[in-house]
Amino acid sequence: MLLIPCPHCGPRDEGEFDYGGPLRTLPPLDGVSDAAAWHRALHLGNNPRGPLLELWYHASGCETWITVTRDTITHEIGGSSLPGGKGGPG
Amino acid sequence: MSRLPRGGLIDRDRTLPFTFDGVPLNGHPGDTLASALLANGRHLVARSLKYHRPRGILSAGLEEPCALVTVTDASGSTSNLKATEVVLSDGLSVTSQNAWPRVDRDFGALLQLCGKALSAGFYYKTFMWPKGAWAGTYSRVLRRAAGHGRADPSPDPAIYDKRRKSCDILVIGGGAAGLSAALTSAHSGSTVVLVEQDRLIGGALLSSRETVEGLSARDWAEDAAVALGQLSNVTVLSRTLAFGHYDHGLVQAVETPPAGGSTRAILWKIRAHRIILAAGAIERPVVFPGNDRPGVMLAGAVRSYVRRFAIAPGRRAAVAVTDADERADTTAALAEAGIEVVAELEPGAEILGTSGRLHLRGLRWRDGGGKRRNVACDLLCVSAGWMPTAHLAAQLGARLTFDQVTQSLRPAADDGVMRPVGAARGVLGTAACLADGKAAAHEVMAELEMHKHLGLPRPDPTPAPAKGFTARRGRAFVDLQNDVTRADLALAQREGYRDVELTKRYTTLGMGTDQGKTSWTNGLIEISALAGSTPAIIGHTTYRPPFSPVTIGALVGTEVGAAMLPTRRTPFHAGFERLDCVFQTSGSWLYPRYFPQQGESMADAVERECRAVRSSLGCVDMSTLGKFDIQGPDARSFLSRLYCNNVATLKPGRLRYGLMLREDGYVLDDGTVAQLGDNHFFVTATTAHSASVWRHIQKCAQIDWPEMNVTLTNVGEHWASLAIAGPKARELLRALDPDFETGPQAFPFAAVREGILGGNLPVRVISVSFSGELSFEINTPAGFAEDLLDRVMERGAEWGITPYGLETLDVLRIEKGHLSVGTEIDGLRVPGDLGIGRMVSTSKDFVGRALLFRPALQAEGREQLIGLVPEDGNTAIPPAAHLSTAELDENGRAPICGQLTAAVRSPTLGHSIALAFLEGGAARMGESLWAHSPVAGRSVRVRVSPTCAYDPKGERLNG
Repeated sequence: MLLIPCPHCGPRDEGEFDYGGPLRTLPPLDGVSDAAAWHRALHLGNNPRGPLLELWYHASGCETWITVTRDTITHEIGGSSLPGGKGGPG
Repeated sequence: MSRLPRGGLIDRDRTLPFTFDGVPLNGHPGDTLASALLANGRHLVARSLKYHRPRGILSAGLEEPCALVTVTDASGSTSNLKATEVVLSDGLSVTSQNAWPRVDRDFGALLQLCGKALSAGFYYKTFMWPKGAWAGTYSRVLRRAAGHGRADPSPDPAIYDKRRKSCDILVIGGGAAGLSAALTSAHSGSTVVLVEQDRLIGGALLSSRETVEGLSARDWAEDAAVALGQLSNVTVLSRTLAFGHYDHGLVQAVETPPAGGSTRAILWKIRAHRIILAAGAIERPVVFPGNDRPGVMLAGAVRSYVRRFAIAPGRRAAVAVTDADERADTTAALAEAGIEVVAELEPGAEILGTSGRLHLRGLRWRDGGGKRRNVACDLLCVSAGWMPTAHLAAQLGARLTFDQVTQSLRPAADDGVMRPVGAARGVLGTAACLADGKAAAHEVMAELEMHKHLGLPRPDPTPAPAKGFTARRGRAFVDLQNDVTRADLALAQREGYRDVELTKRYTTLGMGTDQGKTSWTNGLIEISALAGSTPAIIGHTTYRPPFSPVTIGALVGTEVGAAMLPTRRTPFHAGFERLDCVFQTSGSWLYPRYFPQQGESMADAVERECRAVRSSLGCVDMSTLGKFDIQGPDARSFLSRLYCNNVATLKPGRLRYGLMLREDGYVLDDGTVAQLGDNHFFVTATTAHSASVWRHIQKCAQIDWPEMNVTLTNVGEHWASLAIAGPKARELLRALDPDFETGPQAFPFAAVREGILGGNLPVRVISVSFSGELSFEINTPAGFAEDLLDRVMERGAEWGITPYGLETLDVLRIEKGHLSVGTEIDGLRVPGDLGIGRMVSTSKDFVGRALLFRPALQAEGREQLIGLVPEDGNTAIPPAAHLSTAELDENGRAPICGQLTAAVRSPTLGHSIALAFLEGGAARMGESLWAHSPVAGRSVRVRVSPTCAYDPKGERLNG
């Protein structure tokens, strides 16, 4: 079980989090972005061997979506942050 | 009796009676089951898996491959326990396994005569023909003959607990290296947890004659354990087996408290910054013909039985130990026990075989000079060296490497979170282990910046003796638990099962409850010789948790039966109990199912409840819905993006249905959006999706649109929510004396009002309906729930108010064709499939828009939601039926064009109705179809109808 550093709560057990997949930049909701752009953003991941920027939701904690850099081979955690700069009690 | 008159770490003042195969025997506190059996002269304790050969006790620890027994105590029986691990307690009833009728007269031993036929892979080769016989005959017979022990089918009444712990340094193993590491780190102020699988701390020190710091090794270990126990920064857990190593310093261990306590086992999850693996080493047996007879024991185990348990496990002993120091220590131990040493084999000797039937009677070998020798003996102490117990170091995927110097699989890396020390990395001898434990502790503390770096040298692994024993051809067992012989390994090589993972599965080498703890290195050396390779190249199979078997109860813990999930109760729960409610679990909720009157069946109750709502007045709990408070300057545009329908034109005081899509265009959830103020909204989500919708909108606000100024608050548990529904709902609302207007014009359908009932009950009322009747959902802060329910029941009595539950809720919504999550909203549907495609806004962008309009999701032939009525207006439509244009053919088959999502008898309409997905269904109104239910064994003619079977114009909402 991973130990995930939550920027608000400190290192916490993986069981407190929901996995949100790799961080994806979604097309803007501007009425212009087409299905191809959304398809690329949602379905075509890189699936790298090595460090991957991921989303985790601290469901049993501060209810914040955080990004975590996790090595997909070694599970080494490179760090975490609050990408939107907001959320949770902080 | 074989108990020595004095010595040993046993309490001779107390006697513990137990039975073995019905025979009453005695032991003492401090005994294991194995030592107690040996003390009673019992060597033969089991029969082997395949050939039913007599088997004894090989070891004195958890590596034991042979002495598996079934132990029965007050809470039931447990099979496959190692006699060497079971701590003797009062009144144990122990039975042997794999033997019929008795372990000393086993009918199955006749199988030995078919040794050739039972070689590796014989199941696959033998039971090929006739094909049909496998399921019926072979599998039944083989399953009875196969396996170890029998599971107790009765419920386990024992209590299992789970605990968590975190520390700077976790030390696994309480022998010389582990104690040294624990003392060193504890004295420097680290928080330390020491786990030891044995009931006593000390490991090999407990059966050593060496001295440490002027004390006997045993006294030193005892003092060290006491000293550690007195430190507040140290937790010592004996009887605790660390069985799994996981990411980021997590170790799982299972503690087995003494018998008679409240808890059978405790699962520990220990998170440490550094883990010192001081799990010791397992002695490697010698492989030779007849090496499996009771009386052949590992040399270290013999020393342990003599010195720790005060037992003489034989009268005349032969010694075949490769290492000279260990050979000397073993003969010394034998002398201490008064056992005559009749032969000491020198390395280089060729062992020819053993004799004896149920017990060892003699040994034959050829000495270094080529001379044949034989001797009568009843004990043979064997050792081919030591195998580091480094399993935990390899569980995360790191490979162990075969080291030519130590002739063993050793952990390669020495820089991770887990740090093998002492015998677990091939360092043998008390002094070297003490030094290694200390140096490793300093090393990890320096890494954790808890101590300056001393750079103490780590001792080198101890080289193995240059020469070992050889053996003549013959039936020599490499894996005693699975009866895997040399010949089996050779056969696997010949037949091409050369990869070690294949060899393991084809021959069963290293499988079973011991996972090859005593057999794998011998097997590896054997395989590499056969393959003309080296053990380093052959490698090992994958190490996975658990290191040693763990009782399933410990993994499950207390989360069984009703305690498996937390039970959520709504604020009305106590009030509903007084109304004789029958509850059911719905997700994590305990929710009203129906409210029977005296002597009433569920069907009768549901029919009565439905009629009451349609004709007069009912009430139902809506508290389980997800409820979110959304505020901020961008709240309106935030919601406009979230929902696919138009919510931007909502006005304060009004409410709208909201349909939410996933990013890929499929329907996620539905609910309501009520506007309370200019920038203030109150939205609901379905019960089942309340958590996932909350997570989704949090992600939208936090990650996807951080520029939007909105504040989200989950108020699901703030509000108790009771819907009153029926033609008399408005009259009841008026009778509850609100401080706001209640007339049809002032408070129309799809509106929200906040105010006070009766001068003192704060409420937020929304006019929304799931039943299709005039309905008001009265929300009140959860603490007022009882008051609200009391008032509703009291004032509603005039109209015969009828509380109803999930069953009636479902009938009413099916009559109206309203959607339900999990049945119609099942993650596979787009709005058009559900008949609400026209609701989707074309004048704004929203989550899911771009992908919703992919051609396949808009295709005409997709399954669409329709209603069904019986063609004859009478026959009940079977639930979960499949739709077809054809009757079933003679094979019970028909082409399928759809399936039902719901089917009930409508009390209002007086006949059965159903909802179903049908290919191109929207264009097939009036078509006649077959509803086939193989489960119910019925096929019914049905007619396609609109989803809404009752009040299609919705006029009743406005009463």
